[in-house]
Amino acid sequence: MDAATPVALREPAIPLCPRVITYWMVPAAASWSLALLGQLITLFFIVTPAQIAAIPITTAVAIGHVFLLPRNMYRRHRWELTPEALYSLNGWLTRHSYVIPITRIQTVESTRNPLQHHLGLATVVITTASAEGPVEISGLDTHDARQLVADLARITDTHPGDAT
Amino acid sequence: MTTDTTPNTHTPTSNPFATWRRLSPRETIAIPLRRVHRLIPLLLGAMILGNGRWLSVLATYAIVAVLVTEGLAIWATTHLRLTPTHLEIRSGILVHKHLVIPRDRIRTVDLASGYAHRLLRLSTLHVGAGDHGRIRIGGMNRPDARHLRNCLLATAATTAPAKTPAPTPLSTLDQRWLRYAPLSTYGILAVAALATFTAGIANDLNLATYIAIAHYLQTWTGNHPLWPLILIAATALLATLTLTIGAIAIYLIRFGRYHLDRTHDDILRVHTGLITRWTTLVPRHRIRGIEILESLPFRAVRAATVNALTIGTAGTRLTVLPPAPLHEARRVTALVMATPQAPTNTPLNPHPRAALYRRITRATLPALPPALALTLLAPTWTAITAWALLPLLAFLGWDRYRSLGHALTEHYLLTRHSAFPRHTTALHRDAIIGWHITQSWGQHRAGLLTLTAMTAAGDGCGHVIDIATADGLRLARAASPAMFATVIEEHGADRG
Repeated sequence: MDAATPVALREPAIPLCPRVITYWMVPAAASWSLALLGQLITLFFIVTPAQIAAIPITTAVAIGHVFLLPRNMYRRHRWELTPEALYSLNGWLTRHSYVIPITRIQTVESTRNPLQHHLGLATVVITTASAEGPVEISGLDTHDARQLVADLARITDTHPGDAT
Repeated sequence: MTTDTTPNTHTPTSNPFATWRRLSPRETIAIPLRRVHRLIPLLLGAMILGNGRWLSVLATYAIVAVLVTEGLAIWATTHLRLTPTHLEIRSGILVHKHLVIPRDRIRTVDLASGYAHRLLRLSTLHVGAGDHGRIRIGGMNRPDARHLRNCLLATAATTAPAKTPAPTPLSTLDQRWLRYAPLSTYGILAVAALATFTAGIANDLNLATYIAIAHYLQTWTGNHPLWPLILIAATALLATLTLTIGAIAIYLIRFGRYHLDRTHDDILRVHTGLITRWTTLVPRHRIRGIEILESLPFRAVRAATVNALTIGTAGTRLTVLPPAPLHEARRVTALVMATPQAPTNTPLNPHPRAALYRRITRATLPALPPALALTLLAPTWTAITAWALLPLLAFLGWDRYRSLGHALTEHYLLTRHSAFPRHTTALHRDAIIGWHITQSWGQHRAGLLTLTAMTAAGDGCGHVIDIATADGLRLARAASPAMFATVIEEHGADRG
C-alpha cells in the first residue's frame, strides 16, 4: 500500500429495485397534495399577495420532491454482499456507507409494511453488537431480500461466536 | 464502611443457619435508614412544595410509611440457609429469587458495615463466588455474621489455594484532586442546585426584604457612589464560595474513598463513594478500550478523567478515575490496559486544513444571524457583545480542529475529537465490529469524510471526524484489511 497512490471507495455493485422509486413517491405525493389543498382552502378565506405567491413555490418544491428526488435517491442507494462483508450505501445529502463483516452480524430480519407488500418490496434489517443500532437496506425486491437473509443466515451459522 | 478484621480463631461447631432463617429484626430499621439519604431531596421537596401544612405532613408520613413497609417486607421475605454443600438465599417480594451457591466456589468472604448497620450493630456479608460475582447479604447480627464467615471460609480454605494473593492496588483518591471539583461538571451541578435553591428562597421572601437589604447596604457604605458594585461583588463572592463548596461536596460524595485495584484473577475493581459505596467489577477481557476526557477548564490546569469502555456490563462506560492530574490519568490508563505506556500517549496524525475551516465555520455561523439581528434592532451594547463573541467562537472552533487526530497502532485505534470535553479514545482493534463512513455534502466538497468504528463498547466512541478522504480510507483499510479488501480500490476511480 503506497501512500501516494490515490484510493477511493468504490460503489456497491447492486442497485435497489426500481419499484422503490414509486415507494418513495407515494407518501411524498400524499403529503404535498394535502399541503397544497390546505393552501388552496385558506386562499378562499384570506387573499394576500403572499398567499398567492406561495402556491407556485409550493408546487415547484412538491414537483421536485415527488418526481425528481426519488430518482436521484435511487441512483445513490446501493448495496452488495461481498465474500467478507455487507456493504451498503444510502443517504442523499449526507452519504452513509456501512461495511460490516458477515461474521459480526448478530441478527438478520426482513420486514414489509403494507405499501411495500403491495409493490413487492422489503426491508432487510441487520443488527450487530454495536451500540449505533441496526443497519437497514430498504427497497429490495422481495425475492432478493429473502435471498440476502438466507445467505447471511447461512454464513453466520458457520461462524459461531458472540460477534462482539 | 469499616471492614471487620476479627481473626478467624474459633472452629465452627454448630451451624445457626442449618435451617431457613431470617436476618436480624433490626434490619427492618436499617433498610429504611439506608434509603433515607437517597430520599432526603424528595422529603425536602414535599415539605417545601406543600405550602398547605396538611399536604406536606401527609406526604412526609406517606413516604415514611412506604419506607417502613418496604423494610418489613424485605426482612420478612429474605431467608438464608447454610447446608454442608451450598449457601442458599431466598428473597424477593413480588419476584421470588432462590440463589444457590456451591460452597466450594466461594473465594472471598468479607464483612463490612455501612453507617446504618454500624448504628444498629449489624454486619453485612460480601461473598465473592466466581461466576456469581459478589453477593451481598445484609443485616445479620455480628456474632452470626462472623460465624457464617468462618464457616464459609473454612470450606473455601480447603478447596482454594492456601493463600489468595491480595489485589494489586492501582490508584487511590488523593486529597489534592479536590481542587479540580469546581472545574468539573459537578461545579455546574452545584450552580444548578444553588440557582434552584435561591429561586426557591426568592419565592418565599418578599421584594420588600430585598429593598430593605439594598437600603441597609447603601447606608452602611455611607451612600458611596459605587455601592451597587459592592453589592454585586459581594453576591458574586458568595456565589463563588457556595459553588466551590457545593462542587467539592458533590465530588466527595461521588468519589470519596475512591480506590482502584486489580484482583489476582485479573478483575478490575472500582470502589467509590463516600456514603453509598459502589464497587464495580470488570474482568479484563471485557475492557475493550479506554478514553481520557479533558474539558476546557481541565485542560487549562492539566487534569483529566478516565473512562474504561467495556462490554457486557450495565452501561458501557465505566469511570475508572475521577478528575485527577493528567500524569495520574496516563498512569492509570497504562495500568488498566496492562500496557507499559498508556495507549493514548501515541502521537496523533493531524487532520487537513479543510477541517479547520469547517470547524470554524460551524462554530461561528450559527452566531451570525443573532448578531446581525441585534445590530439592527437592539441597543448598541448588546450588538457589541454579540460581535465580540465571534472571535471567541472562532477560537473554540480552532481548538476543536486542534483536538482532531487519529492513529493506528498494532493493537489500538486511536481517535480524538473535542465535543467539550475532549475525548481521546484508544479502542482495541478486535473490538471493531464494522465501519460507518459518513460524508456530508460539505465534506464531499472539502474532500473530507467522517469514519466511525462501530463497536459494542462505549457507544459513541471510535469517531474519526473530518479526515481527508484518502487518509480515511487508508486508515480503515489498515485497521480492518479483510473488510475493505474488495471495497477500496487503488488508483482512484471516478467516484471519491
